[in-house]
Amino acid sequence: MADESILVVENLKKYYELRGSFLQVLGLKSPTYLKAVDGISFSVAKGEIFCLVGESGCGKTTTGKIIVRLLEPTSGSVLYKPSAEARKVLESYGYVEEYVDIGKKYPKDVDKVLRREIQMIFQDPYSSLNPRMRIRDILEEPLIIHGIGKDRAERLEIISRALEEVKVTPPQEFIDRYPHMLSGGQRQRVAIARALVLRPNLIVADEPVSMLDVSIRVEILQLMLDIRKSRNISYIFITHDLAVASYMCDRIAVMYLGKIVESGEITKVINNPVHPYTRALIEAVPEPNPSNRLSLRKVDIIGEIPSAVNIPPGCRFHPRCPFAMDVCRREEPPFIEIEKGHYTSCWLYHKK
Amino acid sequence: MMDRFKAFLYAIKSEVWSQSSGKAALTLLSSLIVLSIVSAIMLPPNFISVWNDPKPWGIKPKDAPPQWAAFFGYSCAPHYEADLRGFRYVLGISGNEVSLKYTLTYNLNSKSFPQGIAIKIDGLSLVGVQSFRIVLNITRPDGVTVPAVLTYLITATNGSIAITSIVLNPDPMKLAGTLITLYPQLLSVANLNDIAMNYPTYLFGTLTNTSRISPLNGLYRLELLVIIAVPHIVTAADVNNIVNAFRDSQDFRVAVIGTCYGVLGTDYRGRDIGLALFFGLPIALLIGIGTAVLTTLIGLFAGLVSGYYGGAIDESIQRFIDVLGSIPLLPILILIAVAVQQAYGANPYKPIIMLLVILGTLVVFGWGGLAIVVRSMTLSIKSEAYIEAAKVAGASNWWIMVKHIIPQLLPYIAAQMVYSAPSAILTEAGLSILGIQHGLPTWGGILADARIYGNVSYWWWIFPPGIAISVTSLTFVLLGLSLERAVEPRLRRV
Repeated sequence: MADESILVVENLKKYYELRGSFLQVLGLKSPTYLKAVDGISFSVAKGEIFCLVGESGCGKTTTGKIIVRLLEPTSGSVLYKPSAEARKVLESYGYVEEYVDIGKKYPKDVDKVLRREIQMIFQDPYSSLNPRMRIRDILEEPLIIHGIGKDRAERLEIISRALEEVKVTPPQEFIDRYPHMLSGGQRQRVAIARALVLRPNLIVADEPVSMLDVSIRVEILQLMLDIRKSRNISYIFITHDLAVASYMCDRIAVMYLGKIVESGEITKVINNPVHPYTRALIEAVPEPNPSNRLSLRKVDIIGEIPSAVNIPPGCRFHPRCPFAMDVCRREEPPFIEIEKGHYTSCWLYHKK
Repeated sequence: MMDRFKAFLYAIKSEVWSQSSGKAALTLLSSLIVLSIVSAIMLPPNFISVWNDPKPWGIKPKDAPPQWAAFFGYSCAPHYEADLRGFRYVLGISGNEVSLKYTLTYNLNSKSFPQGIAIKIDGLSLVGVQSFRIVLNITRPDGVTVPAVLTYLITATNGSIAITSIVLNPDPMKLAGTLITLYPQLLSVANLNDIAMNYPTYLFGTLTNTSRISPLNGLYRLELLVIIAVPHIVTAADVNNIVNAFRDSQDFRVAVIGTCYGVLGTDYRGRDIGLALFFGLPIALLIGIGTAVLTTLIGLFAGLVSGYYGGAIDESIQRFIDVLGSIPLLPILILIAVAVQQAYGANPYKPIIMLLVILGTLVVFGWGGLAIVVRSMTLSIKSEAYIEAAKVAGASNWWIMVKHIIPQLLPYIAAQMVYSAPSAILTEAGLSILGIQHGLPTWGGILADARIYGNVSYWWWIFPPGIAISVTSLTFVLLGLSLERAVEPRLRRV
C-alpha cells in the first residue's frame, strides 16, 4: 500500500496559540493552545477516495486546508508524491526525494508546481466563486496564474472542455454569466471545473454537497466518481454525512477532537463499527424505513463535543462515552488493528 | 489586455449613460472638462500676477454689476474704453514739440454717474525726447469745456522715457478747483473737498434744483492731447519715431469708467469676476480631482496593505492614522499657510506653492478615514472562500489584492473618490473664507473677497461662484450615484 500512496500524513498537528490573559500577552505566562489537529496519520493511495468524517469542530477541515497548503502545520509531515511532470521541475530545484513534505515552505516556482498538483473543492459554492467575476474569468484565473495556454483562445478552449467535463453544457452559454445567474448545482460544477483545469492528482473536497439541495447531491457525487474514473484522481473527501461517505469512499477515517478514532475500509467500518463514537454516528443516520423510526438507539452518547482548548485527559471521548472505564480517564488509548485494514483507538478492544 | 480595458470602460460608460442621473452627470462633466480645457489654453501665462496686481484693473469699474443687469432695471452708466494705439489722431508740430490730438465721444444716458476717468499706458518707450505730457479736456453736453481734467508730465532721463505700466487719474483737488471756477453755484451743495472726493458726480452732473445733482445726459467730447518735446527742432524722423513708439506700446487707452461691466461684473478692485470664474474652473477641477485621486489612492493602498497583511504592518498603519486623526487640521493648516507666506512671500509663484501646500496638507490628513474603512472591508473580504480558492489556485498576494479585493472595494472607492472631489473644492473655499488666502482666482477666493470687501447687495459677486461650486459638486455627486451602479454587477440590470 505504501508504495502507491500519493499522500502520507504522519503525526500531523495544528495548534493555535491563544493569548487570552494579560500575562500571556506580555509573554510572562505560557500561552494556551487550541489543538485543532492533534497528531493524525493516514495515507491516500493513487486513485483512492479517502474520507474524513466527524462532527463540526473535529479538525477535518483544518486537515484539508493543511493538505492544500492554505495552513501551515505546527508539526508532523505531509508527504506528497508528485507526478512525473512536477518531478522534473522539482529535481531542477534540487528536490530529488520521492516524497515532498508539502507542510514546509518552498520558493515561489516550486510552490506553484506543488499547488497545481493538489486542488480543493469548497463547501459553499455560493461563496467560493467570486460574485464579481464571470465564469470564464473564474476558470481562466488558475490558467493565467500557471501560464497554461498560449493565448486567450486556447485558454477558452481548455475552459470549454472543463465545463463539458462537469456537464455544464453548452459551455458558451455559461461562460459569460456571473455566478449569481447559476443554480447551486451548476455553481458546484463550476467549482469542480476550476479544480480540474489544473489537472491535479489529488483533490481535497471539503463537504462538497452539504450546501446543495438533496436532489442534486447524487449528481455531483456521481460526477466526482466519473472524474476519478476518467482521470485516476485521488480524493480526500471531507464530510459529516456517513451516508455520503459510504456512497463515495474507499477508506474512511473518523475524527474526534483532532484525532482519528477509527479508520479502515469503508465496508468494514460501516458494517462493523467498533469505536463507540463511530457507532453513535452510524446510529444517527436517519432510518429510511418509517416503521423503524421509533426504535431505540443502541448507543447513546452524552452531551456536546468539548472545546479543543480543554481536551479531556486520557481518551478524549470518555466524558461522552457510555462504556467509559477507569483506564479511559487516565491514559490515551493506542491505535490498534482489530482486523485487516481496520484500526481503532479504544481501550475496549485493547488486548491486555 | 488593452481591448478588455476598453471594453470595461465602454461598459461603464454605457451603464452610466443608461441612467438619467448618469446622463446629467456625464453631460455636466464633459462640459466642465471642455470648458476647463478651453480656459487652460486661453489662460495668459502671467494671469496670476496680473490678477493680483491692482494697476491693470485701475481703468475698470469697481463693484460693478454685469451689463445685462440694466435689463432688470439697474441704472448703468456706460463704460467706455478706447484703445488709442489704433485710433485716429491729428498730428501737430510746433517748434520742438510733436502733439497727437485724439478726439473721443462718450454718450451718457443713465440715471447714475460714471465712476471716473483713467488713462492706462503699458510698455511705452520713447528715445531721444525731452518730455512727455498728457492733457485731457472734456466738453460737456451743455457746451462748457472743462480744461485739463487730467494732466500728466514726465521728463526724460538721459533723453529717454520708459513707462512699464501706469494708470493715470485726474488730480481731484485741481479738478474740483476748475469745476468751481466754471460752476460757482456748485458751492451751494458741496464744498471743495466734497467735490474733490466725488469728482465724477460733479464732472458728469448738473444741478437740477438747489440741492440735487443729477447726471447730465448727452454727448461728452473728450479731447486728449499727447505732447512730446524733443531737444531740437522736430524732424520727420522724430515724428516717425514717436508715432511708432505709441503704435508699438503694449497698451495705451483712455476710459470713462462706467458702473456696469462685463458678463459677470467686477469686484472691489475692478477685476472681472467672469474672468476669474472662467480661469478658476481648471483650478477648481484640479483641486477637486487631484485631492480626491491622491487621497483615495493613498487611503486605498494603506487600508489594503493594513487589512491584508495584518500583524505589525497593520498595527503601525492604524496607530499612525490614529496619530494623524488626533492632530487638529485647521490650526495646522493656518500654521503652514503662515509659514509658506513668510518663506515664499516674494516668490512670484507663491500663490501656486501655497495652494499646493494646502492641498498636500489636505491629502496628508485626509486619507486616514478611508484607510480604516478599506481595512475593515479588506478584513471581511479576505476571509471569503473565493480568496482561499484563489490561493489554492496559486495566486500571489498581489494577484489576490488586484483581482479579488480591489474590484470588491471599487464601488465604495469610486463613490468615495467622486464624493470627496466636491469636498476638496468646498474645503478650499472654506479655507479661503477663513483667511487662508493664497491669492489665486479660485471660486473660494472670490467668495472670500466678497465676504471681506463686498456687501450683501453685490449678488453678482456671491451667486456666480456659489452656483459654480454647487454645479461642480452636483456633477460629481450625480456621477458617484451612477458609477456605484456601474461598478457593482449585482445592482446592474440583467
